[in-house]
Amino acid sequence: MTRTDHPETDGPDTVHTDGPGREPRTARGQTLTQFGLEMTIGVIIAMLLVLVGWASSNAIRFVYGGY
Amino acid sequence: MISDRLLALLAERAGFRVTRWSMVRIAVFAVAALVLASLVLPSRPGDVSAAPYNAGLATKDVRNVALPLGDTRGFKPTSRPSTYQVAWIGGSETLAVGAKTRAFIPGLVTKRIKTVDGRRVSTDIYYLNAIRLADQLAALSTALASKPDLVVVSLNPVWVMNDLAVQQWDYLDGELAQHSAWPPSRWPVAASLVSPGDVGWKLLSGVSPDGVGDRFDWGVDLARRTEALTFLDPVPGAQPPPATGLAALGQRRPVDFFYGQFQPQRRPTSLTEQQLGILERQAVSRSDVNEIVLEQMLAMVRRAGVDAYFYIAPVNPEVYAEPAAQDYLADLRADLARVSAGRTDQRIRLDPQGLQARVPPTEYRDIVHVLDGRPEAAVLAQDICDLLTANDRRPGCEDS
Repeated sequence: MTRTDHPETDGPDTVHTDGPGREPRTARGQTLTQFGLEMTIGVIIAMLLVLVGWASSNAIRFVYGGY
Repeated sequence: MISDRLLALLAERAGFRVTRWSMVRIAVFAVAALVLASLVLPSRPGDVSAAPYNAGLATKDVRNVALPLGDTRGFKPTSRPSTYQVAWIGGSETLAVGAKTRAFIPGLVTKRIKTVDGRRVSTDIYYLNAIRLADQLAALSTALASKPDLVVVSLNPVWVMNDLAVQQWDYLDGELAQHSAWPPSRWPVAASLVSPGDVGWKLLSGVSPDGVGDRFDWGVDLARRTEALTFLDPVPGAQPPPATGLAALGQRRPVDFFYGQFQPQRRPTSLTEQQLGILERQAVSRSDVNEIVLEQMLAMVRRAGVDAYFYIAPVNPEVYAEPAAQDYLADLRADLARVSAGRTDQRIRLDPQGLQARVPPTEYRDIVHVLDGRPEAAVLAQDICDLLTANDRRPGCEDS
């Protein structure tokens, strides 16, 4: 498996292989894949934050016990 | 461990690389998604119609603006720009509890003042049962953000300086965090009470007001839709077992906080002696935290440039007749005089003597809950009218 150290700075002609039997990819395709994965992870984090916020906000039920 | 394996899989299958900038971009995408969620989701601004006592006691001009317990937004001030807006912060001592005289005491005062500078008086009550000084600080933060014309703060003589009773409703800490960023004089209280989680959720609420900020209402819906989901077979008619003593205590707010941690010098045998025990606990407080919170409240109203009236509600005259009670309240007055010295002026008033000597004796349910609030309301209205008149306002009660 061969990769460059800085895929963001690769030129369009750089060729990557991701393992035996896989098609080689251009640096542009690799960059798009990287961005796509980063966006997916960011969206998943946001969804988890919202879900945890919703699920935990009403978790503690207060009962006024009087004084 | 799981994330390491996931990253290794992504690296092997898709050439995904983790760099410093990839982390930044993921954070940016997450923030963008939160903003987008806020734009897509409908706003859930909260509803105060079900707030305590609003059903029977709220009027067009007076209402409790507390959101449900646990809602981190805390309060929902009303906006009526054409009115003279009063923010009144207090607990159950602001309620008259007689069967036929039940009322918000701020409502009775509002009715007496009627108008200021020709504008109808509109009063938002920041009411929470058992509200403590730090809760009042959080409420004051929210109230000042709503730009009221006048702030009134009721200090409950039962625990205003009790250092075991600084805070009751810690779900308000997010509000406290939001308004404690500046000036630095607010940091000591915030550092004492606010957790990193409070700050984090408040920041996320700012990024995504409708997605994260309104999470209490979404959470209530979510709980309602999911509470029936279970892998277990339902058992018709099954009842949960009764709570153990500790479980019941854990659910109750407030817990019997001072009796759990403090034994009065004598074993109380009557209600009056129990209540004296509460005052006794306050008198032996040694921490400065209550004083610091109160100082911050006075500084906040000064910085906001708003007229402010702090008062100490009277206690049951039968309790006050006890020499011990008079001693404890004398200590309280000395504390309040020390805290307020140099921090009050013509626009910010706090009389350390409180209302005790000026409200005609009347009947109480216990140490601080009065049955008929009208005598106290008359004194409060007079004090507030004096404050307004001294500051070139024209309150309607001038003529009454």
